Amino acid sequence: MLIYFVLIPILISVFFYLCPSFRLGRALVFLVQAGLFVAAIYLFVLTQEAEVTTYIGNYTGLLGITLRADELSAIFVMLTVFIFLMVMLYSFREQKSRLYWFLIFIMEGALMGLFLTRDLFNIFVLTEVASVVAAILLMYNRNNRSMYDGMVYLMVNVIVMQLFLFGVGYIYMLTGLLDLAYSGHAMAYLERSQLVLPFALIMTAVAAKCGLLPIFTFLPKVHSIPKAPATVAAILSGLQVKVGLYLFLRFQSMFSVIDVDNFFIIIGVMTAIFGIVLAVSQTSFKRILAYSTIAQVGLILVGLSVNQPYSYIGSVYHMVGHAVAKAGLFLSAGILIESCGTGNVTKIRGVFRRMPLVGVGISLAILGITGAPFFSGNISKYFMMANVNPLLFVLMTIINLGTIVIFIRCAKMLFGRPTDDNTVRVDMCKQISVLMIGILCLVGGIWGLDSIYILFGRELSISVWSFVEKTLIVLASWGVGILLVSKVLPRYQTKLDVLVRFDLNFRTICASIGGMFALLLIVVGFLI
Amino acid sequence: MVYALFLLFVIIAVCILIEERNIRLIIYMTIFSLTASASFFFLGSPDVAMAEAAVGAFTTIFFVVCFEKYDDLKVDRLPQSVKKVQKNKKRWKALVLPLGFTVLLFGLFLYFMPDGEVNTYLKEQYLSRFMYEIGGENAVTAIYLGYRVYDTLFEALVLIISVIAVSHMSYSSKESVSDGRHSDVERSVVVVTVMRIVCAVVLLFGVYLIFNGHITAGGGFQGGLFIAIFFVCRYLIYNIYDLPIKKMFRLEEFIFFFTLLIVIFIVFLGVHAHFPPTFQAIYMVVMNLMIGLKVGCGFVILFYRFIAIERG
Amino acid sequence: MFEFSGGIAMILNNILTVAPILVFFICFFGLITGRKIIKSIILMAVMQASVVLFFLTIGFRSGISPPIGGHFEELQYVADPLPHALMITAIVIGVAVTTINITMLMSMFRTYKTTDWDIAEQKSMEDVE
Repeated sequence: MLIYFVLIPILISVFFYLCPSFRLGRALVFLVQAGLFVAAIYLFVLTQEAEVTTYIGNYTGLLGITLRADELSAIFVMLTVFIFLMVMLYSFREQKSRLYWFLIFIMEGALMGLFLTRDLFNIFVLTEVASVVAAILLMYNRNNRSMYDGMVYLMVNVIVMQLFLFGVGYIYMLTGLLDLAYSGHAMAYLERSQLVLPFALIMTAVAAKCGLLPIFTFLPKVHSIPKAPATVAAILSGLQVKVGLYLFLRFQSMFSVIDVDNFFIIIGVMTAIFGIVLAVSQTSFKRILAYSTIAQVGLILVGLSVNQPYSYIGSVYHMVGHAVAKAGLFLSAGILIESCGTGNVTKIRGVFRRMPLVGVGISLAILGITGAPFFSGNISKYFMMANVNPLLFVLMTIINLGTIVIFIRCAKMLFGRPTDDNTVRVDMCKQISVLMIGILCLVGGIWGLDSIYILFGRELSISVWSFVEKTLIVLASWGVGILLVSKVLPRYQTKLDVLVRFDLNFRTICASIGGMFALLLIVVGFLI
Repeated sequence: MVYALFLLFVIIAVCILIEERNIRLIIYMTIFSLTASASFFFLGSPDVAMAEAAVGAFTTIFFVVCFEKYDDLKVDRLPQSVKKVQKNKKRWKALVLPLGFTVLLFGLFLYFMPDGEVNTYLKEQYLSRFMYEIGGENAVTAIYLGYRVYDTLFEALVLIISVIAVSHMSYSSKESVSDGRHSDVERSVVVVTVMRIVCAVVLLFGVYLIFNGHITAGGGFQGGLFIAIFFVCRYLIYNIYDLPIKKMFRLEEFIFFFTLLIVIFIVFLGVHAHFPPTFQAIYMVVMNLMIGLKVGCGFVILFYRFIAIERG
Repeated sequence: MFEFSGGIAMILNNILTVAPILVFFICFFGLITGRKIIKSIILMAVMQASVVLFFLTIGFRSGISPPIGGHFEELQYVADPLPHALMITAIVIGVAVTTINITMLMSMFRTYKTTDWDIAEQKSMEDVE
């Protein structure tokens, strides 16, 4: 059954490309997408009982490729289908080209395949498919700047995947298997020193996929290409990065012999701080969003590495919430650029007056990410910080404060009066998609505990006192944030302007890949 | 033999690294892909060797077209910037740090390189089971079309996407590709005469690889590449752009669509495991044919798009 | 085929394992120092070939025969078919990616008129929204 989640999007997209009638094809795409949504929910219900496994071709003895869905995969499959539904709704009227729909649907198939597959080499193949499709979508409007950035993106991805392939080769050599779970079991019979190199190779690739500290600059760049379609940025920043984190989780449990949680906590904190500093200095809305993604990835990485059940649940819930909210924000950034003619947060004003629905959507998504009370971010961050040690608690609070500062700067553009009077009518489909995403953020917060119970099967509770305490911290952070934005930041504006153009060229990105690799080898091999 | 080839491999890589002139880079590329192909053959893998050889031919063509665009190829002398670099000794000092870094990485890699017995569980399973489970006598094709056909589908998909990308992004006007005009490039008599002989052999070889891929080395992908090379030869002989590229692209998509359907109905529904040997052979041949046609179409389109770029 | 034994065999086998990695890092060095975009693309193609070479050396011993034909008596002298099948896929993906890269480079060259990483980066920075 699982294979159809991957193959049906691809089959339908090829059919769409060949179909003589565009409208018929598009209707079919939406029908199939709705069907997939239902199927994803059904899959999730099934995984509550037991893991769903598909041996492709029914070959026994792990000779074929295995697809397996546990709860985590099912959650991400649902997330993927939902975000793609929103993306398709967004581009319902705008995109008239078959090529666009073809690529988007193939992207969906590849991403779902990545969440479901349990075969090491298949992960390589699907990541290549996803990155090639992403590169073409980025250059969809044939803009020169996007050509350069897309080329860097594709080349970095290819280099990183070569490292990954090396790692797969060593795992195959040592365990004789390509299945994630079973070669993980087989690793118990190996010595730790044999696994250091495969671990470092694979984790370097995964780190580049999620944009961790030394290798992060190329991701925000491609997420914020001004001329690229807004939907691409939403998919890349919302889902592609989550694929990296998902693979991180999988490989973490595969290499259970190697325990490097503290290293990843440090990397996560530093990634988050770098992301925040760079996000604060930007003025372009898309760039701010892209760097804030990096910051949130750092935060999630910390949560995943703390090794507490509560933090794990909180982090996964935050991954979902962040994916939804970030996709909504990128889509609304597309609307803003289209209607205001600029993506600069210091120039756009009065979104509420001009486009109330979009304004509501943006504000709900912002509240969701920053973790305001009664929003999804609040619940997830509450559990993420539930049992961590005090130092980490303080650091995470500071990171959250940074996130709030970032988004207060964005929130400024919601209020005030529009500076110009051009009245571009915004497509209703786009507004609805943004609004629906915002509402989901609210729903995920108000019924947060229930949705955690549904998603993870764990009945958690929040005591009143800690909730009040947490709310006070968030409110205080908001206060400090507003103070920082209005009083302190303008003073250092000239210094921050230097950071706006912060960028690494291709050679430095390659060197940083090598740096991450060396760091992992040294830390895992010598220090721990 | 393998050891000598491996040394050559390293030497050519160093040559590519330090060479600055484009025409030499292309020659090194060709030698490299030949060396790689030969060493794959001596490592016991004729299938990969054939794939690499044919792919190497195409990448070389693409790079030639790319260099042609810079007008660097015709003038075989060092560009100004390179001369400056060679005079400027300071730049060599800047290379010390990256070199040290790379050596450090290499040393770390070797230090941590896992040693131990190679686990041969899957190998033994495949070799002992493929003949009655998938059929044919070539274990590589059996894996490629049977056990791991799921990967093969995505591989075909990547190829289609790259064809789309090249058609979408290349800026030459679409009509110029297949207008049936001869190009005004002068053709050498030697090339034409040799190609006339070679092209028949290449076509025959491609067809042989497709239809015999399940028994001997080869398969759909390699066969398709050789068929595409036949069209390259044809272009070199007649110098004419007359292939209906758009129709070929639709054909490619159709073939891919039907390949997907075949795979879904035969392999993924589990019917394949219960096939009698005759049907297994038919399945392999049909799949090889489909993949061969698809890959052939794909590479011919790529070639013609690149030629169009070179022309316009 | 030749048969080696003792110390020579060890050295030769080490050549087999080290050469792909050496080529990989030669390419890596080229990538972190090279200024020409086209050369980076070529080096990436070489890098992919080195990974293919690495996969094929898994389980290699001299006197190995391809996994083709009916009956295998001594399995240790038959090459492992799985890496071969995987590497055909990897080669196809590699050539597809290389093609896309070349196309992108040529489209970029059309306006930027450069094949240098630094100049291209500068121009792309000036190309603000």
